[in-house]
Amino acid sequence: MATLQPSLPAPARPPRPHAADILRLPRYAGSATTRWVAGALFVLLAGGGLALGDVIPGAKGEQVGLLFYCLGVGFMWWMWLSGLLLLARDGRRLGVPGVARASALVTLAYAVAMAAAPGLLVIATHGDVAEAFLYPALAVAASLAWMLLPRWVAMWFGFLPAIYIGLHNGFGAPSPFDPRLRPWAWFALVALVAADVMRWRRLLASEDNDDSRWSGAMLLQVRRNVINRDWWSIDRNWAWRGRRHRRLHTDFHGIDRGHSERTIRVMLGGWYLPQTWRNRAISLSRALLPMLLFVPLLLFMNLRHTRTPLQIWHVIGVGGGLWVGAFGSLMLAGGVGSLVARRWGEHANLALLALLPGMDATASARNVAGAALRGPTVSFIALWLCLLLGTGLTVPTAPTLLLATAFELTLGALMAMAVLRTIAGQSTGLLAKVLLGIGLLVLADASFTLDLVGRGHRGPGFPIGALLVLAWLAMIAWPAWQAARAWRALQRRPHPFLPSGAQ
Amino acid sequence: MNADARDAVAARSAAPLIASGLGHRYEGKPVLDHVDLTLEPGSVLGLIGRNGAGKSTLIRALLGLLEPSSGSAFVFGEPALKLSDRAKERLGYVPQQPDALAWLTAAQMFDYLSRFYPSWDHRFVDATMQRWHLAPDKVLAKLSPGERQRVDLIRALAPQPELLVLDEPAAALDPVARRDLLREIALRAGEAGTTVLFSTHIVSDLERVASDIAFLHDGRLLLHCAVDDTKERYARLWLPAKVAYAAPAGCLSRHRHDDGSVSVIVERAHDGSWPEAAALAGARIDALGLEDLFVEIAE
Repeated sequence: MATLQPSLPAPARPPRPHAADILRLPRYAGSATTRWVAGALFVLLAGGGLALGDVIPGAKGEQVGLLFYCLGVGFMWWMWLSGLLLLARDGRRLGVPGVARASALVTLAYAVAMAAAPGLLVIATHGDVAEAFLYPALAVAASLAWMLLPRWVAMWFGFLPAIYIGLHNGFGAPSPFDPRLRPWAWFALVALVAADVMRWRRLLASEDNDDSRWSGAMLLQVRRNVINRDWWSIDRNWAWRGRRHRRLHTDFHGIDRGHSERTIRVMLGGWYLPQTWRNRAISLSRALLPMLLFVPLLLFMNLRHTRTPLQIWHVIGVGGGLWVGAFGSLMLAGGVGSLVARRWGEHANLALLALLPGMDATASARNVAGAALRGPTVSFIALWLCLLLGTGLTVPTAPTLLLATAFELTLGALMAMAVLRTIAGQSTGLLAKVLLGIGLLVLADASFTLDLVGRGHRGPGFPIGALLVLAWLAMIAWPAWQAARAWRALQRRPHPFLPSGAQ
Repeated sequence: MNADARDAVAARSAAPLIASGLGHRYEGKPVLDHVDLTLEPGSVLGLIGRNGAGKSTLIRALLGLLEPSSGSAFVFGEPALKLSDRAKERLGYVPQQPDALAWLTAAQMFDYLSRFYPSWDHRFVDATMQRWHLAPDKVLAKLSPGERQRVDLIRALAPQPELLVLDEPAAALDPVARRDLLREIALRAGEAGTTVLFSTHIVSDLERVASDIAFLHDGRLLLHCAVDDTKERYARLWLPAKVAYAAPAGCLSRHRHDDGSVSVIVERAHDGSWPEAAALAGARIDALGLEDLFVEIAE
């Protein structure tokens, strides 16, 4: 007997990936700023590598060139192209046919192209083709793995250079371009590619939206929080921690109409939140404990160079002081600036404070600035002392100590500028921020290098030394002047809880 | 009576909210265009308009939460940008996205804020949290949007404000919670004489509780009257093609149809008469419900 079959239309086949996708899809994998910054870094580093490979004779030139190229490739994948997974994920979740497959194919195409490009050049110069393929391929696979692997795994990537230096110094591990290292490098490449493929498939299929966990991929958190400015999950993460330690978390003691600064600190949230001393000690130890990893790492890195326990502790003290002082200050300045900018973009928090009785309008500009800057200023002084201790123990010369002080003063002035401009309703353009960041790093590097080179001699000659001093003065004076202008603008505002920028 | 006391009495008796020629621009584009609005004490004003009409901007400018490009706003007779503590104590505001203090629990937020309001009603907070099945120990960031909105409503109502301003308060609420909210608004307005301004694009909410209505369209206030008056006062005048030329100018909205006929929204004159064109041969006057009126104006 014939049965009636419902005549459902055959499911539409997903569209085949098109060659134009190679150019089209990466555009959707990152914001315009991300694309420009990653692209510019890649061009600069790859171009620099090419130039260095040409200038430095022999195999050494090729290796240095390759190293620069690998760095550029790393930035491209870390900042931009890893975002193709987000595109694939969104495409799958929204049911857009073909996007997930096309994203995977485009990822593969770019990975192969970037890994193979130096090899093609080397063929022309009759160089080592395997080496020219292996290291860029490692750079692609490692930077993608860093973004895709769970964060608790990815955080160990940062320690790999130190571990390798320790192995090289203490156990005679072969140097980076030594042929004896090659089998290990091939093995690492295979392992990383396998990890990339597994994580890609897993993250693509995952329905989990909580990016804040340690098992979540770095890509999901960095992209959503930093680049897409979706800060909700950061606050949620903070809130979640708050729930676990609820009894310790907040200290509303003394919060009333007479204590505007403490009131404002509650609104700022994060590390501004008034906490009990016990809770603050717990938070601080959580931040400092990972830094203690430096102790075994520094010991490991100096296995062969240090002789006595005293020398070892000297290295640890110096390294720790420099690390905490310099890196901590950078993180503090950036963190404070971005937190305040975030809060002044959130209407609900500003409205709450603007309409809160007891926030006296005449004093509140001073209170807001005090709440936002007092704590970080104290932290800056502590970090400056750490830096002075680190530099003082290694090179107790006036120029070095002045350099450390200038570095801290510049960062402090930049932080004050960023905070006050935000509260005063003035936005700082991305270009200005990038230029200031690059300027500070170039100046610090140049000063440090010249100080290092000139040590034991008379130091840099008159014109260069004077230029450096002038550059540092300008680097401190400009943000300080901007901060003063912002402060005057803030005092002219009817009240400080008005949104920043054109809102 | 001395001058300070006179000022205090004047401030207390002043209209809770006044907008005078308010204008604002975002990146050069006008979003508020010379808005004049007075909120009478004890009234419940529903501010209605399409998405992007400028409702939230108007509310923010009215409360001094942004600096308008032109004009001025007053809350209880005080300049909105320089409110005294006394005026702030009398005001409750719920923003469209109530995501303030996401890192605290609801109980912590109430504890924090209650320190600033002498008339904070702890019993109301506890009772309403229970009645609305909200967990006081749950971190705000972990609440659903609807729960978050209800917590924020409790936060705004707890100081027993004389003026309550709600920006799309029902947007994230389910029908039961929406009904609870409307009941609370009606109760506050009816029993405590609280003045309420709420923005919405849900016409049925507005019909249920509002005493007055204000239509905002493209940043301009097109209409402000009592809700009960709208049916009597406004109608759609349809004119066939042959007399379409007679459509009155300066109407709230005008639509020309494919057959050449024209529909316009007309308003009765002071003497209660419709415009003369309504008497022309073939012309027709259609009574409009609030939703139809909104659609006609906003389209």
